[in-house]
Amino acid sequence: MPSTDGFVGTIEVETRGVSRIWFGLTDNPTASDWVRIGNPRAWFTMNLETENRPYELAKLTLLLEAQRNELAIRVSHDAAITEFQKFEPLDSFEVDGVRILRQGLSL
Amino acid sequence: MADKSLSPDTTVPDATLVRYDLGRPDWDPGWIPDLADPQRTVPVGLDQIIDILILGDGFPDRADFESQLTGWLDDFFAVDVYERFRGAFRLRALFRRSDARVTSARASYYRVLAAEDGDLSAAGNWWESEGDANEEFRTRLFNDMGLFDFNNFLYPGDLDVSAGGTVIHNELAAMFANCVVCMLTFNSNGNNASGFTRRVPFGLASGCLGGMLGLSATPLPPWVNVAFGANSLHEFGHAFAYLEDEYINGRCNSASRSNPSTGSLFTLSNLTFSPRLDEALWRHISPWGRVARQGAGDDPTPTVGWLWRGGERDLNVWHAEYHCLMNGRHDNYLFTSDAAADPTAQPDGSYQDETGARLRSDHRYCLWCQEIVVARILEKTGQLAAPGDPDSINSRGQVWYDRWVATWRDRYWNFFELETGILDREQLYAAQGSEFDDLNNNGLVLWRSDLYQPFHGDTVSVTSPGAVDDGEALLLMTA
Repeated sequence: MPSTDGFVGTIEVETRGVSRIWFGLTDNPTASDWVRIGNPRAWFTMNLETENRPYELAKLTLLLEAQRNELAIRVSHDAAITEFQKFEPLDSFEVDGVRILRQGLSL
Repeated sequence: MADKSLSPDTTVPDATLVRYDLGRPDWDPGWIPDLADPQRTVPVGLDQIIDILILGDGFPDRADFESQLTGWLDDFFAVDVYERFRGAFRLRALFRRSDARVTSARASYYRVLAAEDGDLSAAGNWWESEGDANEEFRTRLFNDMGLFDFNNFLYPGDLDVSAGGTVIHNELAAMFANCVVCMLTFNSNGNNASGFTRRVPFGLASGCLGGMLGLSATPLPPWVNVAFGANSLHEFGHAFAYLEDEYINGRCNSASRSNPSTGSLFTLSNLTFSPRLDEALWRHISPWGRVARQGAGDDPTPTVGWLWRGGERDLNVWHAEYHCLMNGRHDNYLFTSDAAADPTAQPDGSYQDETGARLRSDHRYCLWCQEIVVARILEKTGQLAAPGDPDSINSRGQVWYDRWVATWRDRYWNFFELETGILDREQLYAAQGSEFDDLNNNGLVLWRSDLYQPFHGDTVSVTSPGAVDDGEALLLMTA
């Protein structure tokens, strides 16, 4: 499964259409150097309208912790979603898992 | 360093027929590098060696032929993979004095057909059709191949690559597996005419009854792949490694082929007809592969190994890199598929046919084509075979592909030092040196192009939402 590393730059919840959590990564904990997959800035998403919702919410807690403490995470995810997009085609990736590490440890 | 010596078999200056050994010290005896131990080599026997016979049509004298021959060798060995595996290729050539050049009149020795503009012509599929000149072509071609001892191993007649409906054009059944002919041509302009690759049958079975009934003649095996004309190294990629064209020929036309349902070494292609990750043969090269890569901010995004638009057709087909020896010009976009905004457009935003961007690297395969070439060399030299392989050639193709993925790919990867090599390739595109002046002169940055995209995923399933239960509420409150 593909994976992408970075620091949580933004977390959003959207209820338009399907309720989803969205987040984006940066390459640096304090800069706005957004991580891209292909040409567009990459958006990672978790579906809240699924039987797996408890697990998606568990991932959310990791994201919040990582953002508060500027910790690097590794997101494992599927290939590009074709049915919908955040801002431009093929910019969205369904999250499979989140790994968070204490500062100073490498992914 | 490859030996590029030309060794003619005669010193007679006006000889009408001259055979050459090309760089003989490299292939006599044959060998290939041992991918498992780069310090060693593996012997390649005469029943495993790959023959390249370079013929020439329309050459009035040896000097012109030898000039093209030297150019061909320079090009061939400038390609890293052929230089490294030079011991596997028995390179020989034949000069045939021709009183006439290659023209539409077909008066040259081999009767190769040119159009009025000097480029080679595919009119009437002459290489496999009936007709006096066509038959003379085949007779003289196969007779002159017979002037050499060559490895005449044939792919079995029941080898099925589902040609036409699937990924590679070459029908391999009953074709010489280890012998390829390169036919250099000398046209009315004194040039090696722009050419193509075709599978040529030994002959045709016609007969009076078939003719009276209007039936077309049946080709008789064996078949040989012939790379005609200029760009012969590109054509050699078709003829030897069964690589497909990566350029777009006809904007907005759509491919109708599909990927094979089962992986096989014989249907291994440099094109994919699906954008899906689970069908991607070159995923290991991509940024999601063996060397994970990502871009951020103003730093270049990796571009090697994603889905690059086009492969003969424009839509529903992709290749692995922006530049490749198997690409070309035709109707390529330079930067964006918004044709009116692409530098290939005319000032009024329209596009003139066959004036696309030249995306061929003359001496470099994309990394996926390079891997296919290595796999082909190992298959043809018998390195992928093992005791207990199935009898059926079609099953063997599947077993060999699995073996390539499970075992040989690692060795290939290490031998070519791709752990760093893939980053070098990314840097080539990120730096945009003089090779990319078409982009540079227009102020374009390749990684911002819309001609590539990441692999596509599965369809996302959505189920009806339920109420938040206590456990979830607690989780959120304590987060």
